[in-house]
Amino acid sequence: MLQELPDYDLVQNFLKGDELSFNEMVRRYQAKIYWHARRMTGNHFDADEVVQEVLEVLYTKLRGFNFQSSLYTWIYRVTITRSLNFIKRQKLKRLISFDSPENNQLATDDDIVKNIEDKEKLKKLDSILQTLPQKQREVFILRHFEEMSYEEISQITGKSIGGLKANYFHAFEKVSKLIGKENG
Amino acid sequence: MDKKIFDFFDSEGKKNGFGGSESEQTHLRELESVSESLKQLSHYKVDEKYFATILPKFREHQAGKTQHFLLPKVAMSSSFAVVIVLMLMLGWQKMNIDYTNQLQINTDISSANVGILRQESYIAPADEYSDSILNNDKIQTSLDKTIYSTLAVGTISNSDYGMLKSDTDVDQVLSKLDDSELETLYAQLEQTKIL
Repeated sequence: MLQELPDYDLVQNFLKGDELSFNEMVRRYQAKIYWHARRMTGNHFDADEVVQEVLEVLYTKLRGFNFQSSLYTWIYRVTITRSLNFIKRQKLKRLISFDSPENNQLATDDDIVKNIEDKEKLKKLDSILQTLPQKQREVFILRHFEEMSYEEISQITGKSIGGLKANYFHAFEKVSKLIGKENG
Repeated sequence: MDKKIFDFFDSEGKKNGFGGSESEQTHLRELESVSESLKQLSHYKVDEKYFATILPKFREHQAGKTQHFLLPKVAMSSSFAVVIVLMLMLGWQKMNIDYTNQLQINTDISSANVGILRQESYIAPADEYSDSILNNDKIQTSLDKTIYSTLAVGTISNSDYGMLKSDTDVDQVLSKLDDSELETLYAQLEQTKIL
């Protein structure tokens, strides 16, 4: 059963031409990729686009993957890079857009979260996260929501643990203030 | 926020107990309460059907891609140049910036004669460039020519400065920038405070 195979075997099978192994890898990691992208970009549409970009990179670059890090770490690295690049492209797009900013607002009806109360919670969380600078947001998401250790985050991002701790501290401080305001 | 207490809160050994003063204990409880609030904000019912659509969408895109003609690298470089020209235009139009530093954008465009696009520094008064550029035929013609000549050096058969008429066109141009081009452009714009 593919579901029981370790990542290493899946990659090896894929390299031998087994597309089903790639499918299994996607199923295994798609939720993590989506939620990281979602929290980084702040909405479903953009996250969906990032997910597709990440899969594209995984599919084409897996041939060069040599297990110097775990597949999990590598996928996160790709996801982080794609998310940041996507945000940059969006910023550039907004700058040179022909439409007014109002027309660029995304329709929010189509979302992975359907319940109105849940939508409100997600919206609140998204708006809090979007106030953080990209780098702080990235560390905050990995540390708080994905509950990674600093060592893991350091492996993924290539940044020093000291720097990551400082980023998390500042991010948490900002989030605390915002939550404090929310709660009155 | 107290760094020492935060470090304890953030450490994995926090279950061992914190022996701080009353105010420090209160501070720690506040941090835990923030963390709890955040956790509550991140629990929702999710439409799992979405995840079943990810792979088919990817496979469909892959199948479609193989049928498409791949644009040569030159086309990408031309697109990069177009974006830069647009940036320069918008730098004039949208921003009211004190250009104290020289903005110099170097573009390395393969097989092209457009080597360096340079905008010398000067201080722009508040409303000098906003509407006046859009309404000034001479400037518009000149910018149009620049864009046209930039595109013309590429080998895209249908090179036409008129193609950048909508956000779809902008999307196309941006999607052709590779990561390093995007990084360079973004860094330049951040440096000049346009972004």
